[in-house]
Amino acid sequence: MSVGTKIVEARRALEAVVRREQFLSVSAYTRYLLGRQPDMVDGLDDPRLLEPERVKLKSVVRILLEEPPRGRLEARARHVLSEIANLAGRLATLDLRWMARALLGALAFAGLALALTRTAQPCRVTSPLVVTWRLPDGALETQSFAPGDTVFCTVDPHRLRRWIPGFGYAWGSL
Amino acid sequence: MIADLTAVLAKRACAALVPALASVSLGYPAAYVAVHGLKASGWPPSFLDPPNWFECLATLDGRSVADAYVAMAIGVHPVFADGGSGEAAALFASGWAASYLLAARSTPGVNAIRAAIDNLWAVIAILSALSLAGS
Repeated sequence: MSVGTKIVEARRALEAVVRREQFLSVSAYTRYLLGRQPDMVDGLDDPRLLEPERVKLKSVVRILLEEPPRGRLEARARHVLSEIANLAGRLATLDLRWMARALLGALAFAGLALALTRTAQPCRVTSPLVVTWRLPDGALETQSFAPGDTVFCTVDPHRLRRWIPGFGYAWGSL
Repeated sequence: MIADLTAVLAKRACAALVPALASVSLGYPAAYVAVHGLKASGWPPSFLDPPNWFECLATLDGRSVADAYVAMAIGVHPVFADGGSGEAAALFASGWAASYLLAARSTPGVNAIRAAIDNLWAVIAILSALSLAGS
């Protein structure tokens, strides 16, 4: 056996060893990938792993540790919460002074208008009278008054009203 | 630092308490007049009309004042057709608007949610103080 042949055989043997080690490393790496997360962390110290596989495994572990897996429900809840926070922030920075002034003015105007239109006074009935009351729930009811009775009439003298406790006003017309 | 914080908080409390006090003392008679009209002769015979109300305020009978607002808020006040919840909401809205305008006057940043929360605690504080004073 010549020296050249010996060198070639030694190189082949070395290549075979290296290929075997690479095979072992890749298969271990694949097993760690398919396994659970704690095993994956332990695998970083595994002597079977060669440098390329160790680097790949390390990057996978880093990604998994940085971003824990989230369920769809948690993701949706996070989304909804961030939307609410966004809306609250917008509302907090919005200038609502004109809206507040308009609201105050509208409430004051509505209150005054209601007070003026609902002002009533007792009136004496002079001739027999039949009044049709419209109750707060929309039902109709007739009631007859004799001379001398008292009814409550509003600013419009043809519009009468009667208070039903806990129910509201019945409005009547002559 | 702490003095600044105290000043800011005091301003904020005043901006909330003044409109809340005004709407608590004047809100019920305003709602009553808006529902029953301006003339006392046209009012229904009820247990708490505006003269009675101001009598309660003058004699510091805080219990009936607080009770009236609680009954309005939960919608069971017999003086109002719908139990008074709509009137209570209108009073709260006007208190919110007034406290918002006052707060926006003193501080450059204006926060509508904070004004509403301030109005809420101011009203609750006034009503609980009144009911404590009356009992």
